[in-house]
Amino acid sequence: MKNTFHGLQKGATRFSLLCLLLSLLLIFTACELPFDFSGLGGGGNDGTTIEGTYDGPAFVTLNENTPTFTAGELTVVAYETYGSLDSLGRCTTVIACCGQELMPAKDEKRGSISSVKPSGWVQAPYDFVDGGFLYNRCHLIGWQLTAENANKKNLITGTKYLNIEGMLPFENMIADYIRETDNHVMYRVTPIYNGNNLLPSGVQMEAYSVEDEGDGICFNIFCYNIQPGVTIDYATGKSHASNGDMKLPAIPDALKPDSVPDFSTDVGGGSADSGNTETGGGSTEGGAGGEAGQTATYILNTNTKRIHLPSCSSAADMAEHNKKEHTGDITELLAQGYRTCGVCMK
Amino acid sequence: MRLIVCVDERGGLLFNKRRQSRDRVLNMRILELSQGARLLVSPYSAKLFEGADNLVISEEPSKEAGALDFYFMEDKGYSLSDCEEIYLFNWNRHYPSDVKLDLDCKKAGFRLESTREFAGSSHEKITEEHYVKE
Repeated sequence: MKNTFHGLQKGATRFSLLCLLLSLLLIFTACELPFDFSGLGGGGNDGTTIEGTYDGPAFVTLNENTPTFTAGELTVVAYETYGSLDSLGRCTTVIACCGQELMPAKDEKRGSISSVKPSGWVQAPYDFVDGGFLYNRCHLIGWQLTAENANKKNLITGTKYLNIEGMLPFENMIADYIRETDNHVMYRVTPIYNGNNLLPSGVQMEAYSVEDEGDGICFNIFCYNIQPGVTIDYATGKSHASNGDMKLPAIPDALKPDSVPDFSTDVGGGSADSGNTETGGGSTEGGAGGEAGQTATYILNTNTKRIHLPSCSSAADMAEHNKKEHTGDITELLAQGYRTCGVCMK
Repeated sequence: MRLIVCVDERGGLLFNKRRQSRDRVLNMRILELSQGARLLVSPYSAKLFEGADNLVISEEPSKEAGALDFYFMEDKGYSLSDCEEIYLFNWNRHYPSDVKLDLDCKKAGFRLESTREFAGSSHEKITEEHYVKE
């Protein structure tokens, strides 16, 4: 395990003050700011098949977007630690206290990483994927943060979509924050595997800016290792062009995903088996699927603010803490900002 | 009121109740723009402009801003009813966002008056678009 320390050249006075600050942080609590914004969230899934073209979120938030670093883990001394490969040759958790000390020099060039063959590396060409190939060697800790090149403990097999749409924006946010503030960001990236799969289902990314106690950077998310239009066998890394059988990989409950399966606006073509016909849309007897001015029963996703019929597959997959049953006039819900599911209520 | 907003290349504004990015050079540009007028900001934005003489911290900056005032908007809403000009800055980077700027300046009746690009302190290229109400 590599474990390097940098940043000792920082002034002792500054360090002492920060240690004092951190010592007051006895319990690491959710990093709240004094205003309220309704986030848009994203859709989670538990192996749900996606029909049509996936245009959904590249990530979902976990644990109310709050990382789980303990007070003892927080430090302003820059370091990077890369976990050993497991018995299947898979990357494990990497953790770093990111600071300018670890970032590449201004004119530093990236080194080659093509010698590394991460677990599940079964490369495949697809003309609709930007760059022509499905997989990238994805840095767990991005090069722009720690300048690591061909470190096999830091490179996983990840789709182009995971790399560019999922992980890169978060790395950009951290890197630019550090450059601008000269602060440090605790950063942990954990590849998540289902059983003995060689390909990770995705990566959990946690980050927390230390000096300002999460005021600048604070998140806990899961990025899907998926590629729209491609069905992936996560056991091996093999793939084929999707014929309506693309799946979002499952997120373990232990990660506490905040959002739930809800592809009503993400799925091109919709679902053929969750329509209104079985539920009696427009019922006047208090059944499901009522029209404006009529009483009906709906299942609400309080996280995504979406209205579903009780028979909708998304309602069945919904996390219990986001699910709420409502019987009444749909106009009341629309007035509260809810929108109808594009699949079961279109 | 003259509205100032910063977004990423996909129109993102905030993620997890926090700004996507910041830049010291951009902050200086905002102070330069607002010189001689009031610069209204929310309490959340105030730290970016600590010490500025023309800074006015308000819980409702959009309502409080007068015709010649500037309003740097991050976490509070805005109204275009009394807005005469918009300065839209683009980080030219992709950051995560869960709140996006729901504003199409041209559709909202503003014409693009000028565009300029400059290097920030931590951003290679920041684009500034100046819109004026038609």
